[in-house]
Amino acid sequence: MARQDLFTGQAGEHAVISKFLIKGWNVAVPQVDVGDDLLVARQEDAYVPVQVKAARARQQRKSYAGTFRLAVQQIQTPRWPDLVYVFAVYHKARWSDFIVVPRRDLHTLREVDGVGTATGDHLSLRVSFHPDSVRCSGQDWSVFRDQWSAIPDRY
Amino acid sequence: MDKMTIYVGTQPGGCTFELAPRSRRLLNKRRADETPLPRTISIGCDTKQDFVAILGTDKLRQVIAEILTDMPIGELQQLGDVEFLDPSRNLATFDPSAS
Repeated sequence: MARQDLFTGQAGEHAVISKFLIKGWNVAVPQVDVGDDLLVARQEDAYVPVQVKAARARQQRKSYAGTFRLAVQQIQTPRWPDLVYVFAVYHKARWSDFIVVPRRDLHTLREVDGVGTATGDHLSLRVSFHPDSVRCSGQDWSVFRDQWSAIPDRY
Repeated sequence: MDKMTIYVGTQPGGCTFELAPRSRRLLNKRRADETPLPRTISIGCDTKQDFVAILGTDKLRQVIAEILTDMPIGELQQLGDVEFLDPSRNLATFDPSAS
C-alpha cells in the first residue's frame, strides 16, 4: 500500500471516530489493526464492529468519486453482532461524505445486484457523488449517505 | 430446482448462520407470510469438541435451515438442496472440524 494511502486511511478512521463520539457513542480501537478497525457502542456494552475505508475523491466534470477496495470474504461472512462498513471521502480539503452500509446489505448488493468489480479476492467499489445523488455501479446509494442508524442499538 | 445456500461464519465460542442473499430473495418472493425472515442464527458451544459434535451432524443444521427459511425441511428440500458454505475456506462446504 502506498504511503499516502496509509495516511489517508488513518485520517479517515479518525474522522469516523469523531462522528461517533460527537453522537455520544463510545469507540474502542484495537491496539493492532488485523481485523476490525473500530468497535462502536451506542449503549454501554453493546459493541458493534466497524470497518472504515477512506479515499481521496477524484474530481469529475459534475461530480467526484472515491474508490474503495474490500475483501470479498469479509462481505460474505455472517457474524454477530454484524459488521458495518463506513466509506469516508475526502474532497476539497475536508471529509465531505460518509457512506454507512451494513455488511449484510453490501453482500446482497454484490450477490443479487452485482455491484462493484471483483478482482481476485477483493471487490472494488467506485462511489460517485452528484449534486442530488450518490451512485455505485449504476445504483442509487443516497440512502446510505450518513446512514449512522445502521449501527444497531439494543432492541 | 434452486439451491438454498446458508453461509457460516465462525466466531469465538461458536458460529453464525445466514441465508445467502439470493436464497433469501427467492424465498421472500414465494412466501405469503409478511413476517420477515430472521437475519442470522448464532450457536454458542462450551468447547471446540462440543462445536464439532453439535455442528457436525445434520440434526442441528436442519433446524437452522428451518428457522432461517421459515419452512419445514421436507418442503425446503423440494425446492432444492440445502448447502452450508464457509467463506473463510473459499466457500467450501462448512466443516466444523476444519474451522
